[in-house]
Amino acid sequence: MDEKCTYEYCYAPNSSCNLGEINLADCPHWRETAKKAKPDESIEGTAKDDSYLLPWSGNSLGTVDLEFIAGRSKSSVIGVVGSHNAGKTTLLTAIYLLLSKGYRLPNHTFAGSYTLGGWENLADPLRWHAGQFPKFPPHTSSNAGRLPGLLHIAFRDQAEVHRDVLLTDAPGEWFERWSIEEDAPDAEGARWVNRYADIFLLFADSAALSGPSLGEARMRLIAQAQRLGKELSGRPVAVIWSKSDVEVPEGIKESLRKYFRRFFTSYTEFTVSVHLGQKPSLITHDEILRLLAWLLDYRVSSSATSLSLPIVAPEDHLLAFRG
Amino acid sequence: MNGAEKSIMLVGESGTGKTHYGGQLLIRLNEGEGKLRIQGAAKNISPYEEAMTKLGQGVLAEHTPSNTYKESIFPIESVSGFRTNLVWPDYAGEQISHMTEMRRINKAWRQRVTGSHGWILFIRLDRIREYEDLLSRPLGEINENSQQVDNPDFKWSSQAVYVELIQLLLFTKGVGTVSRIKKPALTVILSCWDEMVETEENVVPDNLLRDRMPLFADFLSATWHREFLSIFGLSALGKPLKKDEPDAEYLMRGPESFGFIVLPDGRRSPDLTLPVSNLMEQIA
Repeated sequence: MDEKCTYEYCYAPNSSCNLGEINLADCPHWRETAKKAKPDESIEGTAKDDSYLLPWSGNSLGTVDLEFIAGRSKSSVIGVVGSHNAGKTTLLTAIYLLLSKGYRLPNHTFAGSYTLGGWENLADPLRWHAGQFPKFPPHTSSNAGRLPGLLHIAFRDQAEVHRDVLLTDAPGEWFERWSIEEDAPDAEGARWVNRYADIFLLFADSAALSGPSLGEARMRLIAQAQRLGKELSGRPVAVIWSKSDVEVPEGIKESLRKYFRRFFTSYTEFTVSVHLGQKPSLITHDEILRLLAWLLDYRVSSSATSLSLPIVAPEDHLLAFRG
Repeated sequence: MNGAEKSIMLVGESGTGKTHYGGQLLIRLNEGEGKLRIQGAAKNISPYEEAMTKLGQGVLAEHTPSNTYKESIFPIESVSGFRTNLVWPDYAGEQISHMTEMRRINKAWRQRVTGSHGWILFIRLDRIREYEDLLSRPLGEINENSQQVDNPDFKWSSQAVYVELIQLLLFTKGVGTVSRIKKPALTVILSCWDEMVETEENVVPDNLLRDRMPLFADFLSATWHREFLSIFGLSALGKPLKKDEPDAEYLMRGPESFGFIVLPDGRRSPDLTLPVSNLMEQIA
């Protein structure tokens, strides 16, 4: 039966029951769905061999199956912002490949992922296979849903604290639209990232900023930085100079930094590349790991001001007491 | 001191050596010289009867047929006097691959998972799927406009498969990973050791796992409590055997003279019962 369950948040039979029933026939919503689809037949339960489908698909999480992670602990959402082709997906993939190869962070250990399918799908194009050269991951399609797919990694730190990290993998077109028109209908995904991210990475494409369309690239980046700056509300941001094997003229970099300082108050910079030339470059690996460590180690420093309560009834000595 | 029946769940894909180990384990238990001993006779050794016969003949056991799932029950006593019935299964490893590929677990396996107290995971490191990629073996120039050809045979790397398998089993058992795990205790056995590591080398199993599957090794060490995670190396047969040509040494000295365990510190021991006895202490 192909009918989706009538319960709004449930995608059975293509995923497990959102309300947790192992046997679909035990769920009242499923029974209702089955009855509507085939009123004269008995209710189908789970597959003939009584098998139970895992509640996570292994692919990027959508906003409904996100509950599976969000329900167990507070997750950090990393908003990955930048124009199309700026290298966002490639950097995310590089993070996974480095962890898979045993590159370690100083304070955090990989503790699992519920989007291994998503990671493997991204990593596969970058792998050597018989008859296939590695290439960059395919363009993140802006047709793939309205909201970004989320990639998940769990870490355990040296203080034994378990952290769930969610990285947004969204098409650059969304941010370009959002920077021009905040309420654009096709920028809903960017607004979602803006709403939920705890920390932002803004990609500055070094190749675009030194290529034939550098003027346009520069204006797009400034527009995105300005939009982001307006929405930050104290959240941290890092500027990622991607494709840094290509040199951005220092004058352009400095002029952009002026804008960043104005829009962001404070920010951090990272310079990354996965285009390694003839020899593996340790500098790039280290920089990507430094970025990941920064994402995980960042703690919002509190302003630590004391709470101030106005005195509204000065004649009442108890309520007016302030210690 | 008696314990309720302790069920150990063996997890291992096809060809990882579960049947040979089961056969050799039973031979060692009957011999009575290991840390773990059998009290009386095992109930139903039929899953291993064929394997033990073949080993006695100096040849490899047959591949376990795909829908097989049979259990032997070994009444055992450890050196410390702990007695229990050890439920020891034999099954075709394809059932594990099927679970991870289809992302489904059937009722029979759900019951095994939820009823188990300890897990033994067999991994054959010389058969894992690992890939070179752009970061480990760079390409001088990549043409970004080159044809994006989908790889039709795309399979997850083995590391990802094993992490997902363990996540699947833990979820089925209702065990979370936010706190470090003590139950179920986990023993990882790196099998066919003799085919991977030279005799003279004093290789520590944990280091070998970290070297070959760093992501998976990290996942295990971040998820389990140190005292409930053990990593052993195993050569159940001691040397490569053939399917049809009997090995002369096996015929002369018997399978009980072959096979060894590599302890977590790298030392070798002929006592094949050690990983099980170690696990029993953890789940007692």
